[in-house]
Amino acid sequence: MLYFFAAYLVKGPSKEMKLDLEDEKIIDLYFRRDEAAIRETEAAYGSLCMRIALNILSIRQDAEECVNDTWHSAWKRIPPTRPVSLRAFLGRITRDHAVSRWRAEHAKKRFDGMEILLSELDECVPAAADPEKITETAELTEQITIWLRNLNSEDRALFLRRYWYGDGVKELARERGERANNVSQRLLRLRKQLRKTLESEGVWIQ
Amino acid sequence: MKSERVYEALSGLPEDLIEDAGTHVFRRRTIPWTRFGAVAAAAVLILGLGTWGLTRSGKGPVSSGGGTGGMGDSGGNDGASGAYTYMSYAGPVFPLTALGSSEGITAERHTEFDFSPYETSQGAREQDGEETAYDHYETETIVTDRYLMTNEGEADRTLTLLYPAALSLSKDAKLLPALSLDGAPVSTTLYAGPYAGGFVDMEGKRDGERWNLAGLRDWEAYKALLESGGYQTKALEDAPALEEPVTVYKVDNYVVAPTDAVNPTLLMSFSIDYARTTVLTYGSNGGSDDMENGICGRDVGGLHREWAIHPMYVILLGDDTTGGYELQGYRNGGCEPGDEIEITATVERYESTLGAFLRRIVTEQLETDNFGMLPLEETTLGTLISPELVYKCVAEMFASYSSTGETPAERYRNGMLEDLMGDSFVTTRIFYAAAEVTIPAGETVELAARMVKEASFDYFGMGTEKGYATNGYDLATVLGSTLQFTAQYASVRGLEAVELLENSFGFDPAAGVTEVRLDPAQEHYWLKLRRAEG
Repeated sequence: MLYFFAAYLVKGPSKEMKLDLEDEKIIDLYFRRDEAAIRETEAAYGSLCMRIALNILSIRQDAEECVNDTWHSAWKRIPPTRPVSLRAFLGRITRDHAVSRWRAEHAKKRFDGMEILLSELDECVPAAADPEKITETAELTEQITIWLRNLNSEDRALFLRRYWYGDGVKELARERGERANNVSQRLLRLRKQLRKTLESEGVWIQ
Repeated sequence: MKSERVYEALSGLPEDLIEDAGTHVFRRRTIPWTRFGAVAAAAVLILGLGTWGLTRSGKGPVSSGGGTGGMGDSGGNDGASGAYTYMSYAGPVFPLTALGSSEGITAERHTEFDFSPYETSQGAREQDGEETAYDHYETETIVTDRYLMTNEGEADRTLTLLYPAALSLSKDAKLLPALSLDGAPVSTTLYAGPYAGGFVDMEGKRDGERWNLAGLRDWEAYKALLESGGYQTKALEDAPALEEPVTVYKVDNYVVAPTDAVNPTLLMSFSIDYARTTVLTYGSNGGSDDMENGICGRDVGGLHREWAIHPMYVILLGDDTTGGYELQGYRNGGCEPGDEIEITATVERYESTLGAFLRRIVTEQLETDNFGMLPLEETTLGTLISPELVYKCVAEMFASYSSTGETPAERYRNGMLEDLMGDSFVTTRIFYAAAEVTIPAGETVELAARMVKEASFDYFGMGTEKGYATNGYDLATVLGSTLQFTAQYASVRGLEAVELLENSFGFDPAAGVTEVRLDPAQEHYWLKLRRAEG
């Protein structure tokens, strides 16, 4: 059977998180200002952060520098921050560093991973723009969050793995045991459903 | 820009969503049946890289040359090879052309770029019940493209003149050229060519499967599109007839029995021969295809949201269903056994042609809110032109790229017409504003086109020190034109709010050079600017 995507909208509560035991130990090292925290972080999340950085920058040396910047940022921010999810905390820092670097150097590159992601996300933008009713980023995040929570776990993971983590379609298809075509089609339907949802909620993006 | 906002919004998502997605283990699927050829059920490992990157040698900007004051001659740079390639390219200002022979008619062209829209003005918006002020400016230029046309013959001449512009139906109508003759508005007929771009695969390659839209990215692409004249010919043709007979099932008037289901969904199942029937839908959210057993399902969900309920059309191209249809309600779009609920609906069956059906839904889309899929502003170009022209854009897209089209694109393989119709609205094509003009023998008339022109831009600002966004505008001197030009000039004004950067025209406002004479042998001119500081 070939399944199509189907979307529905339900507002639900946030999921209560519990920190992984291993992550707790790593965070304790930060609070004790023990430099072993960096080694442990790199061992646990080095490959994840490198993957996120490479998906955006496409050049290993640039990605390595971003990952190093991530460890530096984590050291400065923990404490006082005690992340609920070390994965999400570190991933977000890496993502931000990589995007900043890409902004500075994008003129030299074309059709790289970041541009493809932006091109795809263009299809999520509501049809018309009204400068009198601009939606703030926080509200946009909230609307997208509600939409994501109402997806089934497979579609939610697929969307975030593609557009938050930046994973490639082929890699996602391999994990799902299906053709890249099907993944592409599913992502296309998800993007259009997000756009429809944003339009119905009166979201305007400038 | 806008997609950048969506990308940034994703950064603020709750950590539990990110954590779950990062640790999620996907259910592995077997490869589905294919519609054509051999059937296979084995899982296939796709070897691929986790990252990819395509590099393209970007062409750097070229410094302009310029005159010493007043009017100058354009610099000797080869604009075509020195122009910068933008991530979002708006297309050049095209020259006027004439249908048929314009022998004996000469034209002198004056093109003015007015950047006064970049000036900051005060706007106000309502937020949380209060009116708040904000600074507003546009990254647009007002282009006035004037042609002094002289009839050097001994008899009056009537020409059909065409003024091209690269636009989409979703754009604001202010971007459409308004033609005037000697200062008075002239009656204009609008034509539109087919989708001007192409498709790329998920890695951005043009030679792979066609999943993503890929617009024309630079001047060279427009040159290739227009220089032969074939595109203009297609623009002036009628819409494809699409006279294939179809059987339409309209599912409507849903009645959902009381339920706690969060997404009541109605599934319509029917038997077909996949080799003889193509299934199209409009208003469906999803479905399934069991090609081995010839069972097709199409569903419509969200039936708990009264404001979003709309009919579902199932359109069978080719043979009708072989055994009628069944309707079954489900708790959600999964339509899984065990999740059945009671939902009833009316089903109207009628026979039509594909073209007639598409015309009908195009008209409905323009007259209503299109089931919330394409809310259209009053000034949207697509709402202000004839429904027949909108239908032509949709019909050409279907005839070319649908699953039964000349060159099917994987993007439309599921037969959901709203995907194709939506793309017809947002994709760039060349519009031609046509006017009949009579030029008395021995006399000169002025034909002017005035329009707002959007800037070409990169998604993020250029790597300038302060990161200000850099915008670009460009002009084609003779591309696609049959006119005989005696001279061409270009000028800029409204520079108070902008800083003119590199340009191949030869403008040098600091030296007083704001008007230049162009070389018609140079096909393409460009300029870059940014908003002035302060």
